[in-house]
Amino acid sequence: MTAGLLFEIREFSLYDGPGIRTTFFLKGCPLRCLWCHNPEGLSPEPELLYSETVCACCGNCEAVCRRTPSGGQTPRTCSGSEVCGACAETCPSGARRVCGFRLEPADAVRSVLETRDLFEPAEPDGERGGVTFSGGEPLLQTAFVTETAGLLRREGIHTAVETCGYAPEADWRKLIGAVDLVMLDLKHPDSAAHERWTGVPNEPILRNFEILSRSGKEYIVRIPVIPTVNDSPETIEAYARLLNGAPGLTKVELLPYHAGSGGKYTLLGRKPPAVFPEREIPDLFSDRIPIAEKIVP
Amino acid sequence: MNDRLERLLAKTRALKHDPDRVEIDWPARLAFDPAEPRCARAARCFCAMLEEESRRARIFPDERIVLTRGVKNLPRRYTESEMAEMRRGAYFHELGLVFNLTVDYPSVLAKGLDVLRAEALVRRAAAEEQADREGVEFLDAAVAEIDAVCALAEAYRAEAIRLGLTEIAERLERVPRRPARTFADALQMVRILHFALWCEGTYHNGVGRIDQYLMPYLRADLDAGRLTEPEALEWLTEFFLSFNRDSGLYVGVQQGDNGQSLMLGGCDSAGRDASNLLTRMALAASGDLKLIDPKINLRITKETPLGLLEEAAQLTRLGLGFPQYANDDVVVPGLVDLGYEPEDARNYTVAACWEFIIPGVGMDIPNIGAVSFPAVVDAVLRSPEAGKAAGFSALMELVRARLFAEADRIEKELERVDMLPCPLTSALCAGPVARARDLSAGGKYNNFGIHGTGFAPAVDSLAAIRRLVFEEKSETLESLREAVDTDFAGRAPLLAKTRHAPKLGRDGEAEPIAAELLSAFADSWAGRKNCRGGIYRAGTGSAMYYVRHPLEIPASCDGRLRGEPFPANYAPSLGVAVKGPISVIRAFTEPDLRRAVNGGPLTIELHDSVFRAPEAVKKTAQMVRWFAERGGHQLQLNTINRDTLLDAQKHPERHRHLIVRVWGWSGYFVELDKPYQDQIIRRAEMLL
Repeated sequence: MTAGLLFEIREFSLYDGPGIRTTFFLKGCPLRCLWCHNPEGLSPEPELLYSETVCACCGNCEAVCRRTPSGGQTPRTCSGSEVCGACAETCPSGARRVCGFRLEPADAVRSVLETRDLFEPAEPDGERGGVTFSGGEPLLQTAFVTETAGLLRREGIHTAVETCGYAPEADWRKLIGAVDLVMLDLKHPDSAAHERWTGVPNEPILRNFEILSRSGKEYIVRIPVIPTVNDSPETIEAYARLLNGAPGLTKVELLPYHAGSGGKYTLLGRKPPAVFPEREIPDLFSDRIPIAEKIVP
Repeated sequence: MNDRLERLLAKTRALKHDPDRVEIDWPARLAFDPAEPRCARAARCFCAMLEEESRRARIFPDERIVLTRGVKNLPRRYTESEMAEMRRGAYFHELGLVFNLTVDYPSVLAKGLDVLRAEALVRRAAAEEQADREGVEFLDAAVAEIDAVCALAEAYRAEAIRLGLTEIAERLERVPRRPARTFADALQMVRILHFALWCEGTYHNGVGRIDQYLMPYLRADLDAGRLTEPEALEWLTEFFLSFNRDSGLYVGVQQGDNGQSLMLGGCDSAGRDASNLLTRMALAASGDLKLIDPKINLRITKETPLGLLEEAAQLTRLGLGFPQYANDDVVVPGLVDLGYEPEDARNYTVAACWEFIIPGVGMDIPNIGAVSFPAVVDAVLRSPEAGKAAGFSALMELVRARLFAEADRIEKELERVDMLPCPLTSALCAGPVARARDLSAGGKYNNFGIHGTGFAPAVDSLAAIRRLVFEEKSETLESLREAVDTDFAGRAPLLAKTRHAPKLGRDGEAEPIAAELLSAFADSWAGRKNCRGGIYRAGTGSAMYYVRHPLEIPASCDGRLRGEPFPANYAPSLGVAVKGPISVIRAFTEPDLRRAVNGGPLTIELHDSVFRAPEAVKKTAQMVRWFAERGGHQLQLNTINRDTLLDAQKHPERHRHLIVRVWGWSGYFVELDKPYQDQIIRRAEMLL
C-alpha cells in the first residue's frame, strides 16, 4: 500500500465530475500555472500555513518551535522535513496549521464508504457520483491513486481524475486505466506559450492526450480560460483544431478566471505570481468547439 | 410576478412600519372592574380593538385580499401589578397568553362563523341550564368576539362599496360568516381569522397545512373553470404578501421572530403522500416574493419525489432560509411514541419555529423550558462526585444524573402553569365550545416541550474531557475546571489541545457521546406528567437561548471562551472546520432523533457560491433526501456569505432585503441586534 499526501478532502463538491462527489486533493504539482488558486497544492511536501489575521499573538508557538531553540519569533512558514507541526498543535486560534496529511488507500476508501448511498443516482437516468482525485496533480502520486481507485472500483464506486496530463507515458497509462472518467486540463495548445505560463512545455501532455483519445475511454477536456493567456481568437482556433473530432471526447468544459482567487498565497507567505484582468469567456469558444460549455465554479 | 403584484410588494414594504397607524391610549379608554371574569375582560379588550380597526378599515390600490392593521398597540388586559399578582400564584409563560398554535382552519372555512356562533349559543343554553357559570362566561365571550370579527368584515365591505370594489364587497358578504366557496373566499377568510387572532393577542400563530385545507377550494375552482393555475398563483402570492403588511408590529425576541409559519406536503390521515399542486405553488410563490413571511416548512419522507425537493431547493438557492424540512418517517412515529393519536400525528405542523404541534386541537406549550447541555457538563465538572469518577463512563453517569436533576428543577418550577383566556382562538379550535371551556384551560394535548441548547459544545466538552483526563491523563477535572474558570488565561497550550480534541461533525469519536447524551436527555423527561395533564417532550431546538445560555457559564472544556455563543439549534460548534455538509448530516443523524421530536433542526450553512453550479439544486435535493433516509428529524439549510454579512453590518442601507435564518425563523439581517448578527457571521466563517 502506498500512502498519499493530501491537502484536503472536500465533500459535496459540485464541479469535480458527475453527481455528488467527494474530492481528494493531492499535494504536489509539476506545473506552476501563474493563475493557480490552490498554491498549497503545489509543493509535494507538507507545509506550514500561517494566517496573520487569525493569529492572536499568544506566543505559544515560540516556546515549542525547534527552528528557534533560543526563542524569538517563530518562522511564518516552513516546509518539508522542517515541518514538525508542534506550533500548529499548540496554536489555540488555528492561525498555524500543517497543510498535508498522509492517507493510506484503505483509509481513504473507508472515509467515503459511510456516505456512499449519496453517490448513487437519485433517479433511474440520473448521474452517478463518486470520488474524484484532484490536486495538485494526481499523476505525481500515481501509485496511491491507482491503488485507491482499484479499491473503490471493487466497492462499485465511480472514480474520476482531474489532471494536467503531464507525466511519463507509463504513469499515464496506469492512471487512465484505473479510473472511470478522466478530466484533462489543457492550459494552452501552443507549447512555447504553455511553457511560458505554466513552466513546462505541452508536448508530453499532447502525447498523453493522443493516448487517451485512442484508449477507447470517454473523457472530458477542461480549459481554464485565462484572459490574455489563452482566450485570443488564434488560440481558440488552435484549441478547435486540437479538440474537434477527437475520439472519446464527450465534453469541453470552460472554467472562468477569478482575480480574487489568489487569497491563499498569503497563508504561504507569498504573493500571487500574477493577476489577470477579469472578462467574460469569449463565445467564440463554443462557436468553434460545439461541445464546449462554460461552468461556473 | 405581474405589475399589480410588484406594486403591492412595494406598498407592503412601505406599510411594514406604517406611520399612519395610530397608537391608542387604552388605559384612558378602557376601565376594568377587578372582579370581572377573565374571559369577559378578554372579550372587552378584543371587541374594543376590533372596533378601532373597523373604524379604520383601509383598502389600498391593487389589493384583492384585504385587511391591514390601523392600530399599533393592543389593549393590555392587565396592569403590570395585576399581572405580577397573578404570576405569584402560578407560572405564566412568556406574555401569559396562548400562543404557538394553529387553529382549525379547515373546519372554520367549511362552516363559517355563523354556524360557529350558533353552536356556541346552543352550548351556552346547556351550560346555563347546568348552572355552569364559567362555561357561560366563556361562551358569551366567544360569541361577542365572533360578532366583532363579523363587524370588522362588514366595515371592510362598506369601505369596498364606497370605493366601488364590487368583487371584494361581494366576497365580504360571504366570508367569514358563511362557508368559503372559492379559493379566493378561503384565502380572504384565513386572512381575516389570522388577523383577528393577532388582535386577540394570540401571537406566534401559524396557518398550518395550507396546501391540504385550501386544495379542495382550488380544485373546485379549476374544475369549474372559474380559475386558471396562473390566476391561482397570483391569488396565493397576494395571500403570502398579506403576511408582511402588519409584521412590523409582530415583534418577538427579535424583529422577524413572529411565528407566521406554515407547513407544506406530508401525508393524509391514512398516511398516504398528500403533496399536491398547491404544495408546489406555495414554493413558487415564496420564491417569487423573497420575503421572510410566511415561513415555509416542508414535510418529507425518504419517498418524496426528487422533483418536489428540487423545487424546494430553489428557495434555499435564493437564500431565504426556507424551507425547513421535517421528516415524517421520524416525526410521526416519534409523536405516536409520545401518546399522540396516529391520525393527529400524521396531521402535524410546526408552531412558530420548529416545534411539532397538532393544528386545531393541540394546546401544547412546546417552548416552556430549556436545558443548557454545556451548563450540565459544567455542573458535573464542579461536582465533588466527579473527582471520584473512575472512568469516562462513570462521568457520563454523572451527566445523566445531572440531566435528571435539571429536569426535576424545571418540573418544580412548572407545578402551576396558568394562561390568560383566548375566547376567539378557542372558538376556532376543535373542542373548547363543546366542552364550554376556553382553550387556555386545556386542549386535547397539553404537553410541555423542553429545548436543549448547546448540544454540540457539550458533546465536544465531554470528548475533550475523555481525551485529556481519561485517555492522555495530561489534565485532571480539577485543572480543567480552573482553566475554564480563568478563561484559559495562561493556559494557551491547553486551549489548543481542547480545540484539537474530537468535535461532533468533524471526528467520529464524538458520535457515541452524542448518542448517549441525547438519549439521556430524552430519558430525563420520559414518563413525567405535567401539571396540565400532559407529558414532557425533549427537543433539540435552542430558540434565543444560544445567545443567553452561554453567558450563564464561564468558558467550556471544548475550548469555547467566556461569552462566545453556542451554535443555533442542533449544529456543530462554531469554529469547527467540518469536511462538509455530508459528514455533518452523517454525524448528527446517528443519535435516535425519534426521541427528540419537540423539534429543533440540524442547521447547515452552505456558502452561496455553491448555487452557482446549475446542478447544485438537484444535488441539494438529493442531499435532503439522504438526510431523510438517514433518520434525521428536521433540517434547515441556509446559504450565507460572510463578506456580504460584514458589508451589511457596515452599510445596512445597501442590504435592506438581505435575509438570514436566525434560529427557527428567517429575518432581515439589518434588523437584528448585533449579538445575533455576530453569531451568524461566525457561522459563516467556516465555509469555503
